[in-house]
Amino acid sequence: MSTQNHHTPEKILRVEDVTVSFDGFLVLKDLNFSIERGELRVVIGPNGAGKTTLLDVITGKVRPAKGRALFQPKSSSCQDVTKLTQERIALLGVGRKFQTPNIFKSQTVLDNLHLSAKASRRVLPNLIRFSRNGSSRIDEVLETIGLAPKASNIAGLLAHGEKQWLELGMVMLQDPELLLIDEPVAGMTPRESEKTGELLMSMAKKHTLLVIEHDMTFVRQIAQTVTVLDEGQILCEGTVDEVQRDPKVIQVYLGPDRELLAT
Amino acid sequence: MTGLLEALFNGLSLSSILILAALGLGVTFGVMRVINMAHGEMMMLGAYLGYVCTNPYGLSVFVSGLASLARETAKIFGIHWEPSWQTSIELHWNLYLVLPVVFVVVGLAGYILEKGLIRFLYGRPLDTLLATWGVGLILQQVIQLIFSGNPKGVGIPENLTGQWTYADSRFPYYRLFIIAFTILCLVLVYVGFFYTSLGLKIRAVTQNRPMASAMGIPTSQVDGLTFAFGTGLAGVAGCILGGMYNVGPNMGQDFIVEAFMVVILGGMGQLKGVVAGGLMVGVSRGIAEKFYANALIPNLFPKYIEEVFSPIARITVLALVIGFIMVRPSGLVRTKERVYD
Amino acid sequence: MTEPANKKDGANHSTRSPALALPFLGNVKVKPGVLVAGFSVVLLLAIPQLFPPGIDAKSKQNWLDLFAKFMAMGILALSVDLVWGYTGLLSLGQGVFFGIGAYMIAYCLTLHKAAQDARPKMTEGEPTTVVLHYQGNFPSPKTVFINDGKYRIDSIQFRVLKASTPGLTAVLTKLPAASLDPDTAEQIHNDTLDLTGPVGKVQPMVLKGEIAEEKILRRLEEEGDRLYLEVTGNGDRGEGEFTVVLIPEIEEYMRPGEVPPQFMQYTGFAPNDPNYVPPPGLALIAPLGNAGVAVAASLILPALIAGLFGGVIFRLGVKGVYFALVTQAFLMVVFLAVRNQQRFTGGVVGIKDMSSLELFGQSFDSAENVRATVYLVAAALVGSYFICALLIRSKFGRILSAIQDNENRVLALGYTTALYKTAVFAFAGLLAGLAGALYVLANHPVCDTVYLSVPFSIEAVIWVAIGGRGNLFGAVLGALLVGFGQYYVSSALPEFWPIALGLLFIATVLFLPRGLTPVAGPGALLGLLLGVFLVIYLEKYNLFDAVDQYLGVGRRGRVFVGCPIILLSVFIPKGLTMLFKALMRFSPGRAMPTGSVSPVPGS
Repeated sequence: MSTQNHHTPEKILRVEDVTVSFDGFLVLKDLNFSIERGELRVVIGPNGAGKTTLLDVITGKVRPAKGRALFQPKSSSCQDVTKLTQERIALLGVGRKFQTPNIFKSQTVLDNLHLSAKASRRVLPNLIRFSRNGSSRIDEVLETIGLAPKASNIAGLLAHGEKQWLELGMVMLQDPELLLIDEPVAGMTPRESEKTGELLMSMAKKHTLLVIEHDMTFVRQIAQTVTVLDEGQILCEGTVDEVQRDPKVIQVYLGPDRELLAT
Repeated sequence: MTGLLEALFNGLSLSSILILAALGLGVTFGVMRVINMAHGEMMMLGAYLGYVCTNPYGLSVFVSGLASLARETAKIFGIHWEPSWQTSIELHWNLYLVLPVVFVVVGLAGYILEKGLIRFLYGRPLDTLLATWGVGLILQQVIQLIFSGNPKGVGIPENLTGQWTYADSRFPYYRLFIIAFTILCLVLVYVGFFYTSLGLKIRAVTQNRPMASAMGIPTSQVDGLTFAFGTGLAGVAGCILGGMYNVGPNMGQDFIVEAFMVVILGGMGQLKGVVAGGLMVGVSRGIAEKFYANALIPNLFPKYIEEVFSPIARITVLALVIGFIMVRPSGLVRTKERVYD
Repeated sequence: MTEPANKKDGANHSTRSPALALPFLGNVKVKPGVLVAGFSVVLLLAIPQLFPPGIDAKSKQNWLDLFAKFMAMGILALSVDLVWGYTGLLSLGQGVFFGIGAYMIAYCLTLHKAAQDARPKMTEGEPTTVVLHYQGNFPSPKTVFINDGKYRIDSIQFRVLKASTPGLTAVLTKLPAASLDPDTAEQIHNDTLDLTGPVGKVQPMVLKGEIAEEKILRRLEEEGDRLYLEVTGNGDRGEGEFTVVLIPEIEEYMRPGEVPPQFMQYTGFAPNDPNYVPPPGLALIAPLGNAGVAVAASLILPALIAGLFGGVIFRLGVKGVYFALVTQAFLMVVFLAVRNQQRFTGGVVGIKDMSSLELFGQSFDSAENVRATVYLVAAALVGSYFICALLIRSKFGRILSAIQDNENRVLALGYTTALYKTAVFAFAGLLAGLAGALYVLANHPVCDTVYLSVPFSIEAVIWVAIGGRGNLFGAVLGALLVGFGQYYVSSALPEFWPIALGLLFIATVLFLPRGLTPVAGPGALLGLLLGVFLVIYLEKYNLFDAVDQYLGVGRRGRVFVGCPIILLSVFIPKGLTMLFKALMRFSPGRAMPTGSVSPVPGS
């Protein structure tokens, strides 16, 4: 986003030759993938294509058998995240919204946000922090995700869509440079999806987003560039229209028999 | 040289004992992911059953013990009941006959346990741990009340007593028998799991329960049978070991921790894992025992050959196992499955 | 330090209860539960005062001892609950840390006892010189010296200053203080002294005491031992002086750490003996002779070991069932190691020979000083409870709770969960060590390997399971409930206790997965205390004997009455509250406040 250098826009993430194998089965094969800073990239692909695994590699949950993933934070040096711990990567500036809502079900909405807010992650300082009151930032986020009236509710009792939003709120508070969003609108109504889309697009102004989704309406709403993943490799990259017209993509999604064209 | 040969043999023998003890556990814990802390007590039941069947006085001890248990229980409620149950039947069966009987009877006990308790606790491993520990406590005490704490033994056939001497080393026949029997059990379990239809069903249920159920496999029955199979194995192990070690209400306690370690060490749900784990633990302990026995560390550690295993050797090996698991936690940390738990 | 209470309605907890603004904690709602909790705390601290007047001393001592024991167990339960109920890690090996704490104190006390029981060491101080003068017409025997300490006569030199009438001789004799007849005084030197001269010449005297029977002559042991000058002959006795060199003998009591304690079964030379070689291990545990060191060790050592163990284990990501089993294996290792080393740890038998603990001038044990012990343990329990409560309410505690809820999420937010787990595990180790140290005082004078056994650690877990997981009060409740229950059942039906315990395990897991506290409310602990005291009063007024006679079942009657009382008493406060609420409902003109959903993640 800095306009100082007019070189090619900086790559915030470069995945190079990454191969991930689960007991012999290759989930990602020599994958090369990159995102530029400030992009909103959507990744689609059939089930089992390796999309979530890609996110796992970036966040350090899964170690690739070979390859590396270089993350370039704004104000420090480039790092290979395949060699870092999950928490270190998160602190470096990578946030993630998981496929199923990963929130703290036994705590209140407010407490959930509290834990995500930017504050020391170290053990000792947290031993003497007691206050549960919100900062203005937390209040802002509460408004944005629409959960202000439910701040004292137990998160586990929220509706599915609300849980997704809560998680998004948590990620927003974490304020990472790179946000990885895994199926944000799964199980949402069209109206909720639209709202989520707006949310994401407003976040995209100041962050880099990598979104995994299946819902093509939603993809249309938000996507700039789309990457299609299949069987651990990139099939195609381009705008939504380009990708939808690509014969390889059609074959992979719909099978060789074109009569199955449903959606 | 003699020392080494004997140490290796002892190690092999110990391994086979551990594998035998851990095999049933490998089924219930490794395959079904059920923590059965009463596993040791199942072994103990098998040993006592073996005692009753092979020792001529066994049955009468059992019956009169039952009587005294009944009497004591009634006393709690203030009822004076003095049943004078006795029997003069003397069972003197051959061990080979007893083993299948033990398998079935203890297996039945396991089936009842599964149906009566375990099945309510699937998905709650820590709760199963506590509940089965409670079962173990009850079993220990009930057996104690029936048989009293005096050590008993399982009678072994004549031709298995004695030993084979070769080059100054002694190889007791019974230990050889145990090794052979363990191999037999391993083969049977392997065949049972991979070549029978029941084994196939078991594998289906443990790998994907909803699908198995959707395909018409009676999952709860399979569960019961699997668990029964595991406990039956435990009973048989206990019975065999009862021929060598003292049979007492607490004998299960001596095996349980190591048995779990063996299963974990070998990696979960793998038959060869149990073998590998058992071999590793057994052989290293055999060597450790010999090492300490030769007083290579003179006078620092007094030598105790306890009833079951030499404690120092045991400690060393347990510590090594913990250390090994720490270095290679492939048995403890899930291999790269995409499971967010 | 306090924040304004209702900054923004949506962003704060809205109930109608009043709130106390406390430092650190912000607003603490004053709910009935909090009041009850406070009251139970007060009660715990006042236990010795609550006994029926006129209760038999032995009986009271027995009950006080039980309270001390079970409250110490309560601290252990807190330790288990902190790690299991709040962080989701089941440790089946807290007994290790309990045992370490126990043994540290046991070592201290047994070293003290050994030193007390040993004969004092005699050392010699700096020689002092005394001049004994005689002159003039004194009667014989004349007392020239009255002993005021413990001395050994090193040498005596005699000098005549003025000659006496010729022919006069004298001897120096000694009479022990106990004897009253001067005629029995014994001469302490070999030759006679010539009072006539030579004048001015210093003559060293040849003292007796070279052979064994005479050794006593050279020692002045009691205050009041006397030296006499006995003159033979009449006339002017002249003047002279004795220069006596006395070596003070200092009786030094053996210090803890110098004498091998009984469990070491040492059969060598006594420590006073020049041939003494201390047994191995004495040097290791000697520093624990200092009570302060022992107390510190009983807290710090378990915490250190827990921190080390946890640090490695959690970094590897071991969790759930595997963690439980690994802690059990670790326990087993320690158990076997300690049991095997008779000479270092007392082995299977343990340590049985202990003095009371002296701290700040007060003695603690489980006999004459049991009251002090009860106060100490109660204070420790309450203090531990408050520290745990603070911990839970802090952000640290919420992070722990989050780890239990969803560790992935916590990691994804950038927290190093392994550190948090290690920290809480280490602190739990400290608590367990504290519990063990206190238990040794309550279980005085025995410390043995039972604490390190597998069943013991599992029992600690069941206390928490019964009382209430994830609830600090519940943990303590569980420990006390099972403790008193066990006492009652075992005293009448010892053979059935293990069966009862096993059934308790099963029933709790099946029917009360979250323990009693969610069902019985925060007043459960208070109710239990009431129940126990009710039983104590019943026993004192011999009502149990009446029941026994009525039922005709010997001592078993009290089990049937006492146990249900104890068990059901936990529900008394809840019952009363429900009754109260019901009555309130029928009270005219009073609108019931509608409480909103207020989260209480464990109290």
